[in-house]
Amino acid sequence: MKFSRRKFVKSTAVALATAVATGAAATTSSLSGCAPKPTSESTGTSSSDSIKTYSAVCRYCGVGCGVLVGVKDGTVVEVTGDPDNQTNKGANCIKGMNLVKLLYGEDRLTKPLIRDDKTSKGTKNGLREATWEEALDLVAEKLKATWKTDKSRLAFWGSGQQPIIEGYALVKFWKAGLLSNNIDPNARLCMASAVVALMNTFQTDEPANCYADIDSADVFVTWGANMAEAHPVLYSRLVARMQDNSSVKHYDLGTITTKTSKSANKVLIFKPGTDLAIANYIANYLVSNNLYDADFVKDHLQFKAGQENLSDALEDGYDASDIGQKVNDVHGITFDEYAAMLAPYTLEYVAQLSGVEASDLEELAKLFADPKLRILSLWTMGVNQHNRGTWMNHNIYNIHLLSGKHAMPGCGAFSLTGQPTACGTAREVGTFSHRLPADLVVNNAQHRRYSEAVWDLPEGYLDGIEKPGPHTVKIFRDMSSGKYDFFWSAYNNWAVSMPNLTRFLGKGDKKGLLDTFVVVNEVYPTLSCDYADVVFPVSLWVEREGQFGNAERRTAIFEKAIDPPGDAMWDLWVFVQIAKRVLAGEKISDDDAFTKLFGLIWDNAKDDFIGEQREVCKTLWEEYRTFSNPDLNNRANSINKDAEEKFGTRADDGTYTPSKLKMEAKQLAPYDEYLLNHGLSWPCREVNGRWLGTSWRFNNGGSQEDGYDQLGVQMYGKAGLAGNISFYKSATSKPSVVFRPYEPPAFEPNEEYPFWFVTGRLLEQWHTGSMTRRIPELNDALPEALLYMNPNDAAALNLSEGDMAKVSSAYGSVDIKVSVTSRVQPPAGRVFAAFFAEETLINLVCEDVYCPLSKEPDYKKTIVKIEKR
Amino acid sequence: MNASRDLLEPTSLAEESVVISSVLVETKAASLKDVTTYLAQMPGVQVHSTHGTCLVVTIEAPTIDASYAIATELTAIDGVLNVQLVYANFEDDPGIKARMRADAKN
Ligand code: SF4
Repeated sequence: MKFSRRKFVKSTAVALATAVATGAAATTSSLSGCAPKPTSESTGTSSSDSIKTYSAVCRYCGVGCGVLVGVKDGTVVEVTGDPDNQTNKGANCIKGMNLVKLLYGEDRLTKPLIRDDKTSKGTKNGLREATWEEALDLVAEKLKATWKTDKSRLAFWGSGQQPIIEGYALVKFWKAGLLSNNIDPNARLCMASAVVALMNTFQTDEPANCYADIDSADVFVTWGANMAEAHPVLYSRLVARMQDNSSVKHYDLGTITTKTSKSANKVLIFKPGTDLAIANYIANYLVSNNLYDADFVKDHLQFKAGQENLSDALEDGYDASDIGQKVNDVHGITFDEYAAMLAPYTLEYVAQLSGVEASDLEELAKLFADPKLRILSLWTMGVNQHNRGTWMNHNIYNIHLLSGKHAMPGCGAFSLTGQPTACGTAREVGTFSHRLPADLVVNNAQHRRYSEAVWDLPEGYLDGIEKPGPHTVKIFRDMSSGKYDFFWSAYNNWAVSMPNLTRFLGKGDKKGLLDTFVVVNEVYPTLSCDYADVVFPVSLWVEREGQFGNAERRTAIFEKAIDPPGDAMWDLWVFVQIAKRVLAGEKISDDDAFTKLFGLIWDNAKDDFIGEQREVCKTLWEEYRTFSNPDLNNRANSINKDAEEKFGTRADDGTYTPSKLKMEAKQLAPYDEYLLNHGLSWPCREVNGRWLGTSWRFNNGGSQEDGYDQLGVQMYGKAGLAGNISFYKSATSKPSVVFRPYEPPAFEPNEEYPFWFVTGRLLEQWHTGSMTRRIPELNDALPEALLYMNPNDAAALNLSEGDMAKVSSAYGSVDIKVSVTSRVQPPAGRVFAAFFAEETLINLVCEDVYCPLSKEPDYKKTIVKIEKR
Repeated sequence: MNASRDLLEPTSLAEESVVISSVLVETKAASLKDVTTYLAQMPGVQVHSTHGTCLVVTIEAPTIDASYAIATELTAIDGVLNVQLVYANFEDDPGIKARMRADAKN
């Protein structure tokens, strides 16, 4: 680099970092050497030094940080933390340095691939290059044949990494085009328990709080969350908050000690599964000592109890069994009855059950009893991937609601996500087997009528999808049993991420997967590709325009900055090409089905999209946001208000109570606003011609400009209630505190399998490693999966650092190298491994049991034996 | 404290490949001085300013990989709580340069 250029770049680097460090209201336009802020009109704004800058969102983890991507000669040459994106305000974690490398791995897929010989499945061989025409025709023919013969034998598996518009188009194709609910996302593996509990508690999905709460909380409670590795920027904020204010405390609750434990004042290591009892002890402490927030309880809460003794979802027939059919049953109870149910959760009992010091439990309970303290609970997979994951989510809400600590600045129960758009796509678009967009569900007639209105379908058309489809685990179990003919996946790597791979990869049930026609959209060859009949090479990250929605309800757009390599194409183009072929000759009433559904973005005469990617995204977005802006569509608006009195209840005296959908509760802004604002958190409201986001849902404690849900409460809620909160989306405006007892894990260690085996993620390798393993620096830092053991356990088995061990469960076994380093410190009797490595497939060992309510697998409590190799 | 001008001068006057990035290093209050001293002797690393317990630091190294290795090293220094990336320019990274030449030809 020339001296003058080097000086210029360095000045830019210093100026940007200084602005972020000082919290200066920096925008990129105000700083020397940086590109101006992108606007809705301009894709890729030019800076003075021929680098074009595009606004984007980091591709890696669930935090969803904003980044600016600089492009020169068609190549990404610069990344900058986006100071205008409120998620990270200009700072990324150091993994951001490697963002560019994920695009340029040596083995990017650039040509469609077809497998002619099925016997090569499960190997690295057998795929040959093909033309797009041949691959698309083949996939469409297989899909159509299955659809026409028996549509229960087809499925699509999506993702919390699928951009919003692509997920939306896919849902429209699958649910309205194919009239199929056989679609589910990988978010079932990470977020489903959070979703079910939020719906049960508040009747609306997604957290009420925001990331900025980390900057003002007095106490952090992390529950089964290794944020230091899985949510690095949020953890940085947590550490900074503690650094700024020495009275701020952190309590880390988990079954193993992790990097996140380092900042904790107290680390509470509990016996797996007993977190349910710990939360109930805290609730019991608040209630029995009269230390709950009585006003909050009176104004806001209703109490319920649910079906207990659920046993475990181990067998394929569980969902259809007597108990499986009752798992969602709840009934109203009084506060006193709730108190009586909590009574057995005494300090002594829970300390003994959980193994946590009684004094530590009591200390934590006392914090919740202090009305002045702002407590922020943060949790992820330890809570969600739990044989009672939904219950544990409930129990955290219960203590925050009883103590009046929710939906307030610095204070609330905040479930984090594991993927960058688990919220935006899987949850908001509704790529689950039971959902429609915007929290609507298929088995509700009013919801189907509303969706028909937005999609301009004849009334009753969606009654064909009234029955929810199979959840992820059921799809894979049934595929293993030979019940599928066609399976298509995108933005995921199920051959590494599913539990009980011994069964799902055809090593247990031999037929199944090998007989199913498998299609994979991919950017790199993955283990899933080894089982594919067709692989579609697709665009990665900023090779197309896309949209992510993160855990603080923030939707942000990443602009197309570069072209995909070779013949790789936009996933949306692939979906539309298949839809066009499969729906050819099909009708919706008298209309051509494909044109009815996709005519808004596809020009049949030109056989191409109408306009560039920006225009296509905008057109689909405007239709999608009608779901949360009912006044954009008269028919939808009438259903939203129940204006024709079709869905409500009529009392004996003739009084009619309408069933209002309150779709504006998730209101989204016009597409351009997300570009202008570098992301906005819904509900978004138009105030004096400006679109504003919402930081605290249901909170009426300030103006919309300041991030409060002022207009939402005005529209549907009530002012003047305790805490200035109004839970306007809940039934009778009262969230439900549902008593959920402690029930033990599916299995507990025994003589044959004496260890608990916990799986998870580590900083360098994200999920199944399909991106991070292409980056030498990340891969070199953690090149192989390791079994982290307690040194005493290792010594007892004569195992030392670097020795090979065989880990076996009743499901399967794997050989893995032992580590006794301090990165992850399991207590005696527990071991940990991350799941990223396909050559050390730890999910061959992982148990196959899921939360009976959410159907999310438990990845944290397999019982295993360990032998020296 | 403001960034002093001479620190903005490149660490070498030679025309060489260099990846330039800026990071924020958050330290424990008691470790601020020690960390600053330690950083000062690390090749390619410069501290430009201090804001409370947060240091504005640049990294100059020949490749992205070498830059990342230094950033990772920073996270491991005693007294460092956190390292956050603000900016990275890798137009000089040999792999990226080769890519630019290939893309420019296409
Ligand atoms: S915290 Fe996550 S989203 Fe943010 S920069 Fe790091 S990897 Fe990317």
